[in-house]
Amino acid sequence: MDRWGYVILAYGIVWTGIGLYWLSLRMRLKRTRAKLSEVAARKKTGTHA
Amino acid sequence: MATKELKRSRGILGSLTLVFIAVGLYFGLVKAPPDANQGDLQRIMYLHIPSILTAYLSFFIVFVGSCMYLWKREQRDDILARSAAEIGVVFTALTIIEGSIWGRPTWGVWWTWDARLTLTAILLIIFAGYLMLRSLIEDEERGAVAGAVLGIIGFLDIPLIHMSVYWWRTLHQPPSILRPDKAPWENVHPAMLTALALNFVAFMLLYFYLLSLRIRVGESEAKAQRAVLEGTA
Repeated sequence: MDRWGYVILAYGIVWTGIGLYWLSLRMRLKRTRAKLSEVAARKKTGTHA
Repeated sequence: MATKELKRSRGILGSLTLVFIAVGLYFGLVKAPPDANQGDLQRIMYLHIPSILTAYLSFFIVFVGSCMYLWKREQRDDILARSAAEIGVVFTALTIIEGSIWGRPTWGVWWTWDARLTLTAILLIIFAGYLMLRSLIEDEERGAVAGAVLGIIGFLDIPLIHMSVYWWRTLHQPPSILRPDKAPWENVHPAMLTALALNFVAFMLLYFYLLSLRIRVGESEAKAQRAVLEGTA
């Protein structure tokens, strides 16, 4: 591998890693929000029942 | 209204981060001149220094959040410390990978048990352990106290990493920027320093954007956990 090959490998790994971490955070936020609204909905039906 | 404004400022921070990342990439990969000895390989520096400094900042925030939690026992300090620890682990792991890629053509090896490299690996292990500890202890309060103690102890590794190149004979070069005897502009070419500064700003903005997102995740998780507990009580 030439010098640019190492540079591209390093930049590629770093920005792919950061991108994947950002995506995982967004997915976790979405999942928790869905869980919260599910609990709220269950609570609401429980109160009315 | 406050939520709307918070969302707007996060959007602005996100956009600004993207702009600085693009500018940083342009300066790091195109505008900055190649190094006299290492040629284009030295361009890895524009990732390597900002990412380790981001990790150091993150663990400093863990240290502050942990001290605050032990003092006041407020959940928001624990969420801050836990969020910062997670992002710190990501940036430390990336720094070690970049360093390894840089080390292969420069030193001839992917890894060596040099003092600075070993202490950085220990930092990664301590904070990966911190995250494991937090997920293993079910009692939130006990987990937060144990995490805070480990977070404070773990932070003490950073001054050791910084000083390791002075205290021991190492393969890793001494600092080029944070030197006690010379100002950065006396030691580094201005075009390289500009590229480094721009990438540093990009990483700082990215860090605070990711931290705000991770704190939001932590707050929502705590809220969901409380709601579930209230529902089962």
